[in-house]
Amino acid sequence: MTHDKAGLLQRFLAWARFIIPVVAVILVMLQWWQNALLMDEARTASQVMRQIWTDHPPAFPIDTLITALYVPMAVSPLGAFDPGDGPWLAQSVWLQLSKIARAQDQLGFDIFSAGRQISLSAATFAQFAIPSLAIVLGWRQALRNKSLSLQSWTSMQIALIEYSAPMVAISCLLTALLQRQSLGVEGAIRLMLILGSYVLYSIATGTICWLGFMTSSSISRATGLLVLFWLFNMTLARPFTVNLAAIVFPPPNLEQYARRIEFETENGYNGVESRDDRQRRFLNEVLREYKAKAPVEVPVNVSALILQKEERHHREVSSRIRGEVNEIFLKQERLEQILSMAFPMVAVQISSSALSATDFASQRRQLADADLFWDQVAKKVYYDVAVSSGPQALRIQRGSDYWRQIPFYEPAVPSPFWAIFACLTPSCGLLLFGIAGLLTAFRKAVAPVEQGEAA
Amino acid sequence: MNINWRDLVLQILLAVAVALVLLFASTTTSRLHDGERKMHGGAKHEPQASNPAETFVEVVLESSPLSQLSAGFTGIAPSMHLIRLSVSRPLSNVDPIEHPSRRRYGRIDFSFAFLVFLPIALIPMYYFIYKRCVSRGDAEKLASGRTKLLDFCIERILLPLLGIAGFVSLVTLACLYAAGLRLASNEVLGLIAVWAVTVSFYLLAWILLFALFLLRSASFSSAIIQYAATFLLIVFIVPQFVQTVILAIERPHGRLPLVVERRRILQNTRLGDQAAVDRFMQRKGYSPLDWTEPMTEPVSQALVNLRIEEAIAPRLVEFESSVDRLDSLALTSSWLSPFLVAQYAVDDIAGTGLSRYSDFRKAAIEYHEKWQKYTFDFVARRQFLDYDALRNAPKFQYYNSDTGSILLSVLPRSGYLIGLCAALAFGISRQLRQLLPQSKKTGRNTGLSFT
Repeated sequence: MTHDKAGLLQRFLAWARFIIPVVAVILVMLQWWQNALLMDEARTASQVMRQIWTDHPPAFPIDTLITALYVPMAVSPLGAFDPGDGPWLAQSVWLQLSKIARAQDQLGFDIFSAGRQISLSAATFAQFAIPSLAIVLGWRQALRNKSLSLQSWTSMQIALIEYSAPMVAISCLLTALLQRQSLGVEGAIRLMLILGSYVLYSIATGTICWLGFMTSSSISRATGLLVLFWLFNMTLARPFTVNLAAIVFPPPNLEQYARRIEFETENGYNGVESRDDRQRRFLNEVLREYKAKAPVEVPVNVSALILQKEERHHREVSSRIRGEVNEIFLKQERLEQILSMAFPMVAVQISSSALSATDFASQRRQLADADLFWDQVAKKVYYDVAVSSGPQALRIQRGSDYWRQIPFYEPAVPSPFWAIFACLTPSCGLLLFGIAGLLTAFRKAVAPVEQGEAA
Repeated sequence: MNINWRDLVLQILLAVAVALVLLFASTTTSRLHDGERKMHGGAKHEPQASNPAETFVEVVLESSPLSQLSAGFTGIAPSMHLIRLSVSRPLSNVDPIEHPSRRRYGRIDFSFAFLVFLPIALIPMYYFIYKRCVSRGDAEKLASGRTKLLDFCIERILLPLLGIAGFVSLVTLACLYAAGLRLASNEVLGLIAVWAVTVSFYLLAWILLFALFLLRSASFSSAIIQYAATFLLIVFIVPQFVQTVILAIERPHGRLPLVVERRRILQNTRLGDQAAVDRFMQRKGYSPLDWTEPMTEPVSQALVNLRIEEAIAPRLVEFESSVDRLDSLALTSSWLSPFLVAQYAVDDIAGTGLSRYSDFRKAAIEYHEKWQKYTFDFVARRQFLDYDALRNAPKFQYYNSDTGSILLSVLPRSGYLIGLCAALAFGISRQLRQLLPQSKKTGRNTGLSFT
């Protein structure tokens, strides 16, 4: 290496050592600000909804069930580090709980000009910075001494960790420190797992660059190939995996989805059970349950029981069809996880957002919990109407006192163990890269010893 | 003739990769637009029932004829708004069913292929050109004056690049034709020409930048690292960082707090509050209602909804102005990165840009206000909207921008890219002047050498 080049490189690395953590800190602060606003918005809305729930109840309990109820989704406290698929549009996802909500009414994400560009988070920055540093450090090492030894591999890994660890550690810890509430055990587990996944990413990245520089006969060619590989990872790999997943497992068209829900709600899943047939079936079921021959013999409100069964039917249809769509999303994610074994940056993106609880799977999990809550509410309300109001429905419970018996839904970030399933395959891919490098280094370290003994 | 078969195979593979990415971009964009068209096809453009409390219309932004050129905001910004005629919840977005990560990462379209992929694909192209120059000793010949600079540029750089450009153009034309793009009018031809010029100057800027780095560092590996770092900075770091800052300055407010607020106002609004209704009618310029006759339920409900709309109007205005501020911040900050300049120009030409979606949103809001006024006239007369009234109701109309205004918005951006190319060309010529004059005097020991 010429003296000028060495000086330039040292200056660059000295500058990078300082500036990279500073940029990461700035990004965490900016993202934290947005996250804090998001949490405030969710909390305010939650308070309003809670107030409506308890202080201004509908006159008749079932009225609530036919209108939509909006519950803000829990905002992940680690969203300041990796906003994932959620607030990349700077929006919370809200849960819509309703019997008659059409597919078109699903509000989901609000879209703004922000949508075209992804904002830069500390996680994205780390995902870009680690391979960039690995190329520069590998290049420096190749210019100094090209060797496939264990010592060379170790020094490459140590150098990379030395430059990248402060950035990841500071941004993770700052994210934790800036939270208004303690992260708790689950938050601590998430933080440790995030740090672990970035260590794996760093090792895999260092290994790839080390192998590239040490095995190639020309530094120019190695640089070119590694730059191409990482640029491919940064630009094309994720678009490639998400599009492939969408092509292999296509989701339904919105119109088809809405029509299917509408059709099956009216005609049953097989399309032959009309509303009247269904009502007759429900009545017969009620009569069988109470061992009665006529509705007048049933000691409770028959209309409410039939309504409950109709409501159940509606929810079953929408849950089944929505479940099918969720199954498609899950398959898409699994395919992406498998493909990510070949693309380290995709692997770390998936792991990081899953562990930060900001990926789509975590949001779906919250939605499933909310659905369960709504099922329980519907069950209780109908049961109370049917049983306590008497056969003529003269004593329907209503008012604030009744609604206060039912606690308002408390959204919560899902357990980190759900995230482990999502990041297991990508992490295995990263680990395999590291093991491959280590094995290569060991083989080269053992070979000269064996040759020496043979001599 | 000595042919390097390995390089030839690699070059063919590279050409195939470029063609495949362009093909993939074309099919992805077509699929995206097909999805949009299907969604729009099922839209309900007319009110379906006479009861405004139950009925709605979906207003639709039709696909642009040049949408194959760039996906832009397709599937990202709403191209369809659900307008409830009960005036209770206007402008709900209608989104396609899609995994959010696809929306975030998966927009591979022609603008992605040209503005992101091709600058990367240029790296191996540079490598092959550079390798050929090294193997033929062009640097030495140039330095010693045996080869003229103009000849070198034309023969060794321009001709291979023209070959590559020709190949890319042919594949692009084939993909666009297959995707259904036809030169149906002079306007389309003109817009495609402007698109080609904009994209060409953008790519030329990358080529010139690499040449500048190569001349400055005189080492291919060092030039690649500098080029890749600049690429990352311009295409990813700066636009994304700017985005983060914009969102921190002007965080968009969700529509759902508005929904919650409506719900809250509804709880405090009584149906039969005669005094409040009369005050409301007077504020709107109508005489108080005659309360001696009983009011029908739909009219009464419509009055409640209109009162809620009045109460929530300041928050709606705040929300819409926040969206406008975000749009204008995004447009202003786009000048900070040449990539964004090219991206916005290409989106505007394709008719999938931010300004078109903003105009559509404003037109939808305007339509909703017209509908409110129309409804109000009936409610003030205590009438209910029958089918005749619905037939004469205002219809949504949206006119696309004319070619002249599109060109006017694109020209400054094209000018920016041309200026950038000129600046880089000036930098290269200065660098060459530093290196080449010595060779004229001494014929050797120049600074120009490739390692």
